[in-house]
Amino acid sequence: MSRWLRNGLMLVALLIWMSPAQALAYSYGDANTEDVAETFKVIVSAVNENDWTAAEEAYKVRRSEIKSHFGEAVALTLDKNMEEKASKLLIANYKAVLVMNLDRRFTYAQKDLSDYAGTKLLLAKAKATFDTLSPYISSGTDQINQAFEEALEALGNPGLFGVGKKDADPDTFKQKVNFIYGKVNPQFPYKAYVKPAAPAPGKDKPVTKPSSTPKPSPGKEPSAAAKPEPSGQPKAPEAVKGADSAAAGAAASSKPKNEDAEASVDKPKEEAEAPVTEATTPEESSAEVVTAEPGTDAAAGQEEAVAEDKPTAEESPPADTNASEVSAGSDETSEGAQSEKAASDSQAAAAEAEGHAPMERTDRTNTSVTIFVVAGVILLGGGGLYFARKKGLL
Amino acid sequence: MKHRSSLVARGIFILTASIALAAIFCMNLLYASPFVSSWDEADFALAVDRFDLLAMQPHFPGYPYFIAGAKLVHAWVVDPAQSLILWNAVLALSSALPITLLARRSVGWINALWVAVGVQSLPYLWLMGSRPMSECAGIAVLWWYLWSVRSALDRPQSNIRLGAAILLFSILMGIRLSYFPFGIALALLLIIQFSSAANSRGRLRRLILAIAAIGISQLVWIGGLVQSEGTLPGFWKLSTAFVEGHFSEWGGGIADSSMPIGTRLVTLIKDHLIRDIWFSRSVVLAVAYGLLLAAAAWGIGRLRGSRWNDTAEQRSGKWLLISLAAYAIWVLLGQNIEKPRHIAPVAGPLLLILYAGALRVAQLLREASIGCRGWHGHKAAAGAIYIAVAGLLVSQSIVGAQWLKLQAGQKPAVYQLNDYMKTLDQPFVLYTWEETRVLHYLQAEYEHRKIVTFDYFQSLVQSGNGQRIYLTNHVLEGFLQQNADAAKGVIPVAEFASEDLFDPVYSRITVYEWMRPDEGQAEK
Repeated sequence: MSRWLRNGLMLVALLIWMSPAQALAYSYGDANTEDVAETFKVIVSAVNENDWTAAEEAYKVRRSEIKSHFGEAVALTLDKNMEEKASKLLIANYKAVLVMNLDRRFTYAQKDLSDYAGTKLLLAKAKATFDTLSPYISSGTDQINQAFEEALEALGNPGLFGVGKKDADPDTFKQKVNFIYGKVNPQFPYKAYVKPAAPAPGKDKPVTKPSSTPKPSPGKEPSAAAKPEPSGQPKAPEAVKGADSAAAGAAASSKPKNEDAEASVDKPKEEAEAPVTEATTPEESSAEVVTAEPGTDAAAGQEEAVAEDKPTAEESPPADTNASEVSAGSDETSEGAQSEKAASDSQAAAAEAEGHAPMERTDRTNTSVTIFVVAGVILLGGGGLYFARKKGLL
Repeated sequence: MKHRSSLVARGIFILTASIALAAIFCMNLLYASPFVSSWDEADFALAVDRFDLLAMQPHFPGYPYFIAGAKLVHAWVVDPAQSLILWNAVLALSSALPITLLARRSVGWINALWVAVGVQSLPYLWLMGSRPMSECAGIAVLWWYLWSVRSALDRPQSNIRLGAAILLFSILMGIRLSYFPFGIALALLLIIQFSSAANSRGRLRRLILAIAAIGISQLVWIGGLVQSEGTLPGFWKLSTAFVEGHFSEWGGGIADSSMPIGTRLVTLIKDHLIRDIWFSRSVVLAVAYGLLLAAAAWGIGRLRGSRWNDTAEQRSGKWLLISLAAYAIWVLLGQNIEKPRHIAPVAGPLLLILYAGALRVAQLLREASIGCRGWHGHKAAAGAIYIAVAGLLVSQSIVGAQWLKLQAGQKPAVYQLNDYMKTLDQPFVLYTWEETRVLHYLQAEYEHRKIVTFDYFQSLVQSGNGQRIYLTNHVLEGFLQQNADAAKGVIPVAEFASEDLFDPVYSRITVYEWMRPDEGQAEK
């Protein structure tokens, strides 16, 4: 009787001792969040309150991730926006970064659909990114949400104890994901920081040059090329891509900037904004940064046109020459050297992104867990067998 | 002749009790709630269609057996929520057996059946059988588990009984992990078995084997979860994402209300356990239970002189009380204090003790009344107990049936909110807390979004493209904790209410409109 009580009390005491830790562990976090997007929320809130130190702190934490995945140039542009407290521009650019993030998640998700959990996690991160952008999208969010759901369905399902098993459908997944990106991308143009002619060329910061703009993670190319394609034509992306690179090749013969043109299909269009802006608001061109709403609209409009009419090959060359003109106009000093530097920069960025890439797909704890579990099973099984045999059960 | 008539009487008693149990089950199905009215319920209902831990359908830790059972039922029942309810009701009905088997030890077969009726018809527990929540299934399996531990205590040498207890504990954990403190009963069982086999050579071996078996049996449902994510690395990735998410969570913790432990205890015992669960907010039930307690006290008083020969059962009742205490402490410290349902698993066993105790006293009184001077008093006390129990059963079924009807018929406040928002002209945005999950389940076509942080809300409002903005009272209360001026620009537009016994948090919803003029002031 007293033994009962003593044992019981001891166990209860043990439980109480364990409880607080359990209680803490019990409030699970949400895996459906995206750090880059969460930082955006903080920055947007802080900027709205004119609390630039808070915004900067939040940004600082995320800067390296932005840099490694979307390139040094993007990070520098944000740095500059932050420095100048250009709130509208900063937020617009960060939204564009979120679009890049959407692309990054989609790209890695598409790489290997057989990794169900990994792909699903990436898709969830993409969804969290989109959810952060969706308040700024005026219409069509229902459609996009629907597409997200269909993309998730297309991943298949291993089922619960085998109930509800479904195979993956990579084509549908790709199609849905491209649809989403195609819808979202044109709405949030990126305005790279354009280095003015004034500062001395000796300054070793050629990265501000627009030519080395968004160089996102490798693998961006195919989906970016496929993006303007209406859904349901799985073969078309390659064709467009071919046309694109052909255009880029044509441009390359005239200017030594072919690496960049090839590196990012988006870029020509983005650079095309610069002349447009200068044309509409001449007073802005004196400023260090290309701002102004007209630029946004015009660029968006242009992008829309590209997306809808889809003769990318025809649109690209003029865009490209525009871009070359801009860069030629803005920093004619040591053009060749800089483009070389930029190229090596973007390669470095690519390498860096590659270095980060494994983090996206495979898990570092992967092997150790497997070994641990296998060892555990062997130990338990062996122990059980040993005892059973010793006891004469076998 | 006399023997025969008592046999008939026994038959009638057993038959009516069985009919009562069947009626409780049928009422659960008849008045199955057609609503999916809370975040958790939406999680479960979505999980029946597609099990996806990451998408929080269901939320962590997965409830695999609960969902798997409902998935099986789903093969015949189209609606996922109704599949969950049917699965719940079936499990609840099955739990009448372990309740009877546990009660039989002190009061015999026939009385035990009626104890089961009494426990099953407790309105709060009965209501759970008509909702798509995991509590009902969890409590039902808890009964089976408690019975298995009790029967293993009877025969410490039996490996089969020990194995059954271990298996049922695994099933219990696979339905509701938060019931883990009841594992203390299993731990006690192992300790008793170990120490009672004092000089046996194999006792250590047996203990280690049992612990290994407990671990392996838990791996079954964990394995099911792992498999639902495809591979072990995938599952690991997901789990770490959940843990990481916790640390990088932004804007969270605002809803977190820290209550001093004393207040928590009072709320838990007085408001939740006694008022909501035991009495189901019914004065009639409170009076009826009061009468039963008085009658039992009277009986115990009359028996004071005589000998109690129930020590064995009393002693083994201690393991039950210890497990209940362990669970109650866990709820006190680790569970959301806003929800009475967390303490509900304690109610059933307590009720079992109360009913079985009262009926045992009545039996003892009747035995003692033979050849005793004060037999009239004895008989009267026993009669009072029987009458109180009968009265309780009747009032419980009436009160319970009324609640069931209301639960199935009254639109939850979130549904009313949805109906109202549908009538408004778009475009607008509705900012909510957890209501969003239900609105999503209902496939609301207007924009609705969960929000917790006031600063972020303001930035969204200012970048908004002329949409009207609505928010619910939960959002506003959260804002007010962050900024005292948050309520300045709002006017209440509509109010919705439903019974808060069914949903203590979201049964009252007020919709506010955020007025534009405030924008200028916010911008300074």
